[in-house]
Amino acid sequence: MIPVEHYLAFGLVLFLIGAGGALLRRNPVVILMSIELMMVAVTINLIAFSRMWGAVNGQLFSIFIMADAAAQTALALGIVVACSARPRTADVAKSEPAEAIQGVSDRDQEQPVASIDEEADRYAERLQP
Amino acid sequence: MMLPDRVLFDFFAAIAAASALAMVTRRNILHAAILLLATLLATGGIFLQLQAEYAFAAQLLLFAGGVVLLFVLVAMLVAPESLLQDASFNWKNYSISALALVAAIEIIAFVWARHNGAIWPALAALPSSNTGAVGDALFRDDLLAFEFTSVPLLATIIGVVMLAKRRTR
Repeated sequence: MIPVEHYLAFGLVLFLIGAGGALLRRNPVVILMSIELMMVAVTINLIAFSRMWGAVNGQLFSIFIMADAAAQTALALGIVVACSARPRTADVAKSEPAEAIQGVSDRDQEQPVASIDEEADRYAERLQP
Repeated sequence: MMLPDRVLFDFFAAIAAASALAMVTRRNILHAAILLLATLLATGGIFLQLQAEYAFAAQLLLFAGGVVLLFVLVAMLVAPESLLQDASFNWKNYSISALALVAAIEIIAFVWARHNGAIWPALAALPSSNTGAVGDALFRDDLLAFEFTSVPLLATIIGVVMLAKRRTR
């Protein structure tokens, strides 16, 4: 049987890592992940106390925490997506994942690739003396 | 044969703390999401060691399943360049191996605990069926608190719907 202090120390470590990430990182998605980490740390404490007293009330609180954490993550990620200025679409017919992944910039899309005939004409002009 | 309690706790705690630290310091969002998954799985192992099987299952379904999926989807929408393969360090093999190891150990421990009584010494005070005890408490003793949980969920639904309407207008 591990004394409850070990679980508290482990929860404290996770909470401090999460708090540091939430305060020091700039990326909103990573900040949300850090907040998740802090909630999980609190959950560990609750379940350790639940085991210590031999009652399930701590596990009930942990389940409530999980439900609220999932809800707030869904809402916060929706806000993050709504605030991100990057042009995007979830329509699979319109999205071009290969180009989006490879980071093709808008500059390349504004200049359509010339057809083979135009290329040939340009090449022929260049060959003219 | 009984696995020592201490070994299991140290194993899961080390994996969780290391993954959490790596998650916070990673620049790539997708890497951070995978490391968050590793942290949540290892934490689930500690829940299992504390004989909180229902919390373990909720952790896997809700956090490791739902929330990490949300994070990965948002990472793909917001930062698609995070999907690019990082050639300098082949982190994928390491992280996937670590995830598979954690999941395998959890499954083995769970099956072992079901078949051979307990893999770790149990406290006498705990009820034999954790899920039954949690269900009794959730739906009988603390029903009001359970019902009040729907209020923030309703607020979340309304907020998400308003966000979606604002964009389509």
